[in-house]
Amino acid sequence: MMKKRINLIVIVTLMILGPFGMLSFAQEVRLGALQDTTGATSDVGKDEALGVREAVQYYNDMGGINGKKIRLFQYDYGYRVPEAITTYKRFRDYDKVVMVLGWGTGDTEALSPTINADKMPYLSSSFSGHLCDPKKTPYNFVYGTDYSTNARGAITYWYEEVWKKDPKWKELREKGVKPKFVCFMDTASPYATAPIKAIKDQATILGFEIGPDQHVALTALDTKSQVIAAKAFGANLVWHGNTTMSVSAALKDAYALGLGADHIINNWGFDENLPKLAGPAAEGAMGLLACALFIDEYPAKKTVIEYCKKLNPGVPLENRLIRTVQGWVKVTLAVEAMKIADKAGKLNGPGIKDAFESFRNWDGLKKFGGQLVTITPTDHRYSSVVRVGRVIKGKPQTVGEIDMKAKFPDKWDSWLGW
Amino acid sequence: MRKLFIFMMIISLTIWGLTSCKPGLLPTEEAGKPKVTLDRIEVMSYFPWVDLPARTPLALGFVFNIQNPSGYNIKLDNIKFTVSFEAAPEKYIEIATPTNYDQIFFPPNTTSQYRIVSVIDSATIRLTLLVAQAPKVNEWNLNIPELIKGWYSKIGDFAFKIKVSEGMAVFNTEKGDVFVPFEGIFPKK
Repeated sequence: MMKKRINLIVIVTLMILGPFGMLSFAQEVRLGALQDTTGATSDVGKDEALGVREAVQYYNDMGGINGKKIRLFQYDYGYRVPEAITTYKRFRDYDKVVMVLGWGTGDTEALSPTINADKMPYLSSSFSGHLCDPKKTPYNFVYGTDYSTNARGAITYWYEEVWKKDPKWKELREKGVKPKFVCFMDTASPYATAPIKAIKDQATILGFEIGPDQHVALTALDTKSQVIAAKAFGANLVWHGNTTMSVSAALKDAYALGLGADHIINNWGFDENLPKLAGPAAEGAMGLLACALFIDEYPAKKTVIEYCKKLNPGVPLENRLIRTVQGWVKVTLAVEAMKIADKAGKLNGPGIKDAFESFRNWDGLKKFGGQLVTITPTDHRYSSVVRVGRVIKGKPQTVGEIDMKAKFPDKWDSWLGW
Repeated sequence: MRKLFIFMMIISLTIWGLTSCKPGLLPTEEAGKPKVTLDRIEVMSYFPWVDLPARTPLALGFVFNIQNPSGYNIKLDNIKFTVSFEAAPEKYIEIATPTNYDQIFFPPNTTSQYRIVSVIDSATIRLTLLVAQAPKVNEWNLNIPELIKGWYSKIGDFAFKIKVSEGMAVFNTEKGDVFVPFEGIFPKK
């Protein structure tokens, strides 16, 4: 009798509380995102920020992190390192985020000691190779092939597919001339300088002659003196380490002044805007691609466009770039790591770190044109595959891939952390 | 025992009824959707101009009317928009994208005012014009230092227009999330 009464009270209580239960907030997973929408890399940062926000909404619509809603705190820091550090402290102390989606190399490297001491997983849009050695930076992660591997891949690809095959270089090839190589980059920018040591090392391995570096500011509109210096050296190949705006300025000056060299460009300088900004000067330029271009066909394209229209109907689709897709790649990788950590009952810094380090040939980014992801406790390089694009008939497109681990197996391990 | 059961049933059904049959429009149907409109822009803090590349701050307040025509409480979860300054008649340059995550409830059938303060500065505007907005600057042949100085000298009178675009407010309601795009120009004439 007593048992019956208790059961009855429990049932009726649940019936009464039912509607209030529906009104209560579901659990949240808090995620911080630093973006540059107004600073020196805003030419690529604004579009990436849109992609991040849209992707978070998509994953929330799909059930969040195993039923927990992702609450995104996304702030512009204008590419100012002090502002990034201040915003990070807000993420950590007030917003109580479980991980951070970072942006630039300068701020990510500056924050690295702090986030590692705080055990805060930090997935950055800086693919600096310096962030990939977990012995030094255990809580830093990247979502693209690192800059150093990319740079090595770009120069290797050009050497094998262009220098050795293109009729343009036949005469020099047959004379046994070494290809001459120079770097254009903002020498004050940690992003632009991050892969320079690696690409020069690769140039030496391949037998290039290396010329003097040319400083090109991220905000440069005129690079004539740098192009004249490269021409005086007789450059056959130029590495561009900046973002799209200043790379386009350099391409236009190189074209106008008849430099005659080929161009290879880091991934944040190569996108749909490059041929729009540089016109015919961009034709034939090669660059690195972290994933599919927005204009490409890729399995998730329909979803990406649906959320572009849903969240940012005021932004014309024709203005979207590969950066939108990169935002989705970044969030997709973060979401997967958080889901794994949550399932293990460890949705915290160490748990998310362990989840990242459990990826083995994970194919979740393939639908965005990303690579198979392998991250281990001893190596945070996301992939060894370098995707190379080229501007052909005014449009950037993928022309090939090169697996640097497979091509240089004896050197791959020693390149960690470059 | 039976009396107690019947009594509890009546109470629970009454509460169910009260909570599930709210009057008025649903926030998820078109007529019940919240509306966000730009009411005005105010200069919240002004500093004397210092020539570039020095940094002169400028704080602007964006006052929005948030109308909730539905019969339900709605919660603003986050709001973002892009601010553009008029560089030439009807030609706008994007300056900043403020985003706010403060959560606030709006009661049913009300219109409330909601202010977002955005602090910008001349050095950041210059960078934006040199990088993200460089194609427009080149196309319209604009002189960056003169343009920015002009904005600072005229903003007290709003002698140029400021556009709010790409606006998106996300509201949480009992019936699901509602996405509200918005845009506006100040002054209107």
